[in-house]
Amino acid sequence: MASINADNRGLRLAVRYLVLTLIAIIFIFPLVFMVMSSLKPDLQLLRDTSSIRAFLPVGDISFDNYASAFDRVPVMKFMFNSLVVTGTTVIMSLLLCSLAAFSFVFLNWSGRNVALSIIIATLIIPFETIAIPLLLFVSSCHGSEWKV
Amino acid sequence: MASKLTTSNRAGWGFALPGFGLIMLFIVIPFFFAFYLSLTNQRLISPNPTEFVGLSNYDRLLSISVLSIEPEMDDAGQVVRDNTGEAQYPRVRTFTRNNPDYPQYAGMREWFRWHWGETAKVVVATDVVFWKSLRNTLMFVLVVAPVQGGLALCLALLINQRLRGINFYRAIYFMPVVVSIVVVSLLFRFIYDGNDGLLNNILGFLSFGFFEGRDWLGSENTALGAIMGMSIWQAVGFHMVIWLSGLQTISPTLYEASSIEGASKWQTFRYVTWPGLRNTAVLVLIVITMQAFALFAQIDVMTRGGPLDSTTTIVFQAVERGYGKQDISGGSAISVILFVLVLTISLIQRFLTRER
Repeated sequence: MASINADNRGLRLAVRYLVLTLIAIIFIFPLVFMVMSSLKPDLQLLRDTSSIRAFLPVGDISFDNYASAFDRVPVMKFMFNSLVVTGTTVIMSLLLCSLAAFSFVFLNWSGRNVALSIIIATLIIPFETIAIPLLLFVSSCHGSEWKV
Repeated sequence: MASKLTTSNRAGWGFALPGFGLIMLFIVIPFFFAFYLSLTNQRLISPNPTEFVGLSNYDRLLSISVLSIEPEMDDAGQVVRDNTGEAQYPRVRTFTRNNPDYPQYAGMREWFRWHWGETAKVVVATDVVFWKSLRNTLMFVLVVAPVQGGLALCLALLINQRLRGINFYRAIYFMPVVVSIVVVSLLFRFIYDGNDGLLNNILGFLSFGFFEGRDWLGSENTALGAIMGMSIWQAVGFHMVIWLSGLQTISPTLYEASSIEGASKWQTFRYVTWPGLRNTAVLVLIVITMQAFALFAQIDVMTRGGPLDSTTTIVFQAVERGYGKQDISGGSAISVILFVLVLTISLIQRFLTRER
């Protein structure tokens, strides 16, 4: 590979960055469009899709859409709900999974291999298969009025 | 060295039980319950008591057959033709409705047909929509699993280079994964829009106006493809990261050795990188396949199965019937069929990718 001189190495580097950047544009442009559109009124949003303006914060820019979203629905409550679900899931998973994993790895008890096989086998069950029974199960639980 | 703790059954079960119990309660028991429900006529709200109906839900979903229809003959024994010379066929419904000669076709509808000489072969099924959902899901899996896995590997190879600022590109490629698929679906409804959609405008601009805009989600031919494209765009970053972690476990000494041996780029990939990625490949393939089979959110947000059932999927049908039409048993039967499909495909994949 003695033919590589400094020029040609610079060119290769430029081509690499060009490829990386072109692909990056494919991944980023819908998201830029989303963020920019959130700052524009409806009419201007539709007008702007026909030009590069769709990706630029130009025209009638404001946070009015955000304000009206907060007015129309209890956004804070939704965020709080998501936070409760995420927080509970993460904490309980860490706690229960590490307990169980410790038991499976370090402790000897009868039924250990059967229990482990059952857990591995459940990986193959799509959530959608059990969604309907879970719906029936949860709706039959009294106390579902329980709220945070 | 066995202490009391490590050999006691009580301690072992005690540690494992909280997690194991929840898995049993929320996954294993509902799974068997789904199987049981699929054998009954349970509805969400029904005045009648639930009855055990055996396999009739499956029978209704899966029954399919091929009907051969001869063209109509006139009195002279000649095939009746219309003005364009096409042979005329009796209508399918004369076979499937109130025809005592063909009890096996009763209540079936036409799915599609092809011609074998002058004979029309008509595929009829009791539940055509379910068969379409099966076909759409399989098409989605067959396209998305290899394309997404392959693209993710290309991206992983690309961002595995030692370049200044490579972390910036890694972050951007991963960005769509962080956005919820529901949000992405809403966003792409704007992008795929028929009038003034962003995609139409971009393609028109890139082709200097030669490209004529189309309603991507409104046409039978493009709707499923559009959803495939969006799904790949959204999820490819995740599998890229899995491939990347696989790439980084390959020892640099192997690459050094191959460069000393004078291996070309392709040889290095073929004999060093690819064998080192074996386990990662199995993981990526199985995960993508399972995710692709569960296609639902995109359909629910973007097309609700339309146009003309061209994007309906197995899970969408299960949910539509279970919740929408309150037909719990029918939805459960579809779910069980999905489970059998996923299980079969996983076993085949395990077999094909087994250690030899």
